[in-house]
This record gives sequence, C-alpha cells and structure tokens, in this order.
Amino acid sequence: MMFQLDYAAELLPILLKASLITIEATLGGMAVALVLGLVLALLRRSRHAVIHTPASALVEFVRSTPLLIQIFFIYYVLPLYGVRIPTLACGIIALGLHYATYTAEVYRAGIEAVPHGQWEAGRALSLPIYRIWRHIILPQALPPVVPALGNYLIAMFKETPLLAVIGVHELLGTALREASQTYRYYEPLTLVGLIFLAFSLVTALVLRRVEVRLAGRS
Amino acid sequence: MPAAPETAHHTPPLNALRLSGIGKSFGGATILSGFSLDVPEGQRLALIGGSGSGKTTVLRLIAGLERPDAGDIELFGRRLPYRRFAGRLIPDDPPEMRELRRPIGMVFQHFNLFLHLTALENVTEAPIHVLGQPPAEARREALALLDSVGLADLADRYPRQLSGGQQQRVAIVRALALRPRVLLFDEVTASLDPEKVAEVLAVMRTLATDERVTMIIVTHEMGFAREVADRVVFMQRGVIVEDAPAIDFFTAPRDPRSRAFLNLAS
Repeated sequence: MMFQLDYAAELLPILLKASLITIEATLGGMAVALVLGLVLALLRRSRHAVIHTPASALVEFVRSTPLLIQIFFIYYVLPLYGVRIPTLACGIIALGLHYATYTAEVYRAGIEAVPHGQWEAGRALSLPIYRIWRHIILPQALPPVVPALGNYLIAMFKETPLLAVIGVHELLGTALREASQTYRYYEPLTLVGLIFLAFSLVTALVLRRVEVRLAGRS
Repeated sequence: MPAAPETAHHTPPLNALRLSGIGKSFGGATILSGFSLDVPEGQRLALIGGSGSGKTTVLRLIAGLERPDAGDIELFGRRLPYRRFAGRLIPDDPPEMRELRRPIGMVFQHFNLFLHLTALENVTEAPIHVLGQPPAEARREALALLDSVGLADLADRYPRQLSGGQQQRVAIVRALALRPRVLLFDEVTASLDPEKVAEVLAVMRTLATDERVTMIIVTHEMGFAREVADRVVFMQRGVIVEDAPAIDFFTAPRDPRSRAFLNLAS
C-alpha cells in the first residue's frame, strides 16, 4: 500500500480549510485561558477565604480531571440546564477553562517574582490598588512568563483533535471523515501530522522571537 | 481639628503625627507594646536604636505598610480609620485612609524604584495618578526636582542603569513629587557604598532646611543625625529609652544604655 500523492493533493485543500477551525479553536481557547487564568491567579491571591478558596478549588478540580471528560461535560450536560452554545464554542470554553488552571500557575509565579518593595513603594506613594496592579506589578510580572504561556499555547494546539469527539470539524475530525469514505487512512493522517508539525514549528519560531525581544528589553 | 492647647498662653504647633498605645507583633514576637510618640509639625526627628529595636516598624506603621494590632495613629489631628474586626485592626475606609496618608512620603533602604520605569517616569507616576496633575506639568516639575539633586541628565535611565546613590536620589525626588508634609527615611544610606553615602546625605541636608516638612529619620549615621535632627528618640526592644533634644542626646546622654549605644555607634 503506497502513499498516493494524487489522493493527498486532493485532500490537502480540504484539510487546510479544516485547519482554520483548529486555529480558531486554539486562539479562542488561548484567549479564554489567558484572561481566565489571570482572573484565577488574582482571585487566589485574595486575603479573603470566601474568594480564594473557591478559586483554588476550581483550579484543583479542573486540573485533576481529564480534558476529554470536561469537553463531553460542557457539550452534553450544560444544555440540560438550558445553556445552549454552538459546538465550537463548547470546545473553546473547555480548552480555555482547562488551560486557564495552568496559566493561572504561570501568572502566580510571575507575580510572586516581583520584588516586595515594588508593592511597598506603590503603597507609600498612595497609588490606588488597581493602579499598582496594572501599572507596577503586572508589567513586571508578565514579560518573564511569556515563554511559559507560549508553551501552553502549543500544548493546547496539539490537544485540539480532542474536539473531534463532540463533532467539531477541525483537522483530525475532517481527516477521519474523509478517510471513512475511502478507507484510506495513510494519506489523511500523514497530512494531519504534517500540518500540525508545520504550525507548531512556526509558532515556536515566533515565540522564540518574542522571547528574544522581551529579553532585550529588560 | 487642632491639637488641644497645653497651656493657656502657649499653643503648641500642630502635631504632624501622634502615635498612642500602639501594639505590634509579628508571629508571636512583640515588637511594640503601648508605644506612644508625638511629633510636632516641622520637627526633624532621628529615630535610632539597634536592630530589633522597633524603629523601622514605627516608620512602616506610619506609612501604612504595617497595620497596628492596637492603638491609634493621628496625622495632622485626624485619626486614621482603623476598626477592630476578628481581633485585628483593619482599614475601615481604604480611600479615606489613602487620602489621609497622602501627605506622607517614604524613602526606603533598598530604594524600591519601579524597575520597568525610567527615573522620570518613577517620579511622575504618583503626581499624575494620585494628584491628577497633567502629564506635561508633572514632567516639568519632575525634571526640575531631578535637576535639583543633580540628576536631570539621567532622567531617561532605568533604575538598573543608575548607581545606588543615584537611585536613592531619584527615590527621594519621587517622594518629594507628591509634596509631602511628612518624610520618612528608613535607613536610606544603609545599603549604599561608603562613597555614595555623602551624596544622599547632602540631598537630605538640603531638604532639612525646609521648615514646613516634618522628617523622621531612621539612621545609623550618628554624625548626620547630630547635624540635622532637632530631637532624638533612642529605642531598645520597642521601648523609648531616651527622648531628648539632639544636642543634649549627643553631648550628655542621660541613660546609660544611650551612652553605651553611642560608644558603640561612633
């Protein structure tokens, strides 16, 4: 059974189109993870137990359960409570929520690495607390953790095929659908692998550049 | 609310600061207990003592970097709004607390300049975002202040590009930019190279000629304290051992512990 270039050439446009869904899911999931992760990191730093305890519980719970189950849960269980969301949005929420618990830890490390004196100087200058967070602490906490956040971006990208299970027509789902019509898996799966490889390499290269730039600034 | 006159014919100057019955402990170790201190407006007070004497804690309580466990803090006759909650004092009204503390400036041992901002941006941050000054005006005033300490040329440098002495001068200017009425100095020369100490002390000496600003200086520089301070409070283990005019304290300390400390420090 040889690799058929004609079939591969025929599949490529279909799969490239499907990869747009993969990218959409990744970028959407990452946006959720970046924002929600920061919110979780800030909530966990609260002095009030009523705020930090639920946030910590959520983080522990999500990290201790498989992403696949979370995807199914959001897709099948939420509608029972009247929450109706499009399939791709379900996938984005699941990815975003799952990775938010990891980015929250990354943010935490970044925030804790800012010297305590920066807080004290801000307070001694009577700066309002939100101003200290936004303009003193976060601008120093975030640049060093960009590489770590970038690694999660790539990791999340590689987990998007899980969304095929709820019928998101991303790369793997589309490839499997095509294969089921021809019973040829060699070409579709190879192409899927190559496309993932290409995107991962490009993203890693971009991240490397960002990293170098950030390092040059500080 | 003016301070109550002590005698019929003599109204003392308004107290810039009044600490009464302050208690503070860290993890079971009592640092201050029933600590009281009045500082009249315009005074240059040197707070001295060995390590663990509680002098830095006093400054940090005034600046709001620590909360008292007990007692009252008054600034210019107004009591800071702490209330008791679950056995601790917590700020009752954070915006009012910030407002009342705004006239207080603090300079730290380790400078604590904002590392991601230039010298100029460090200075203009609070005037723009606390006083609401227009940025152009804040920059003009900041440059003038930086110029007054000989740093106008370095306004666009980041803290890591400045020497310790330069950073500390920027930090002093940053505190001045809020037009403070009380300046707290927490061992501001203690982490400087010996040759940089003089340049920072020179700036503080100039500041001390401004009669309107109250200065509380925690220092180990006895020569400087003797030269600049009107009054010396010598502390040991959270207790005031001697509280005297600077000239008396340095020429004729009454308490044997003061004498021992001066002998060691000089």
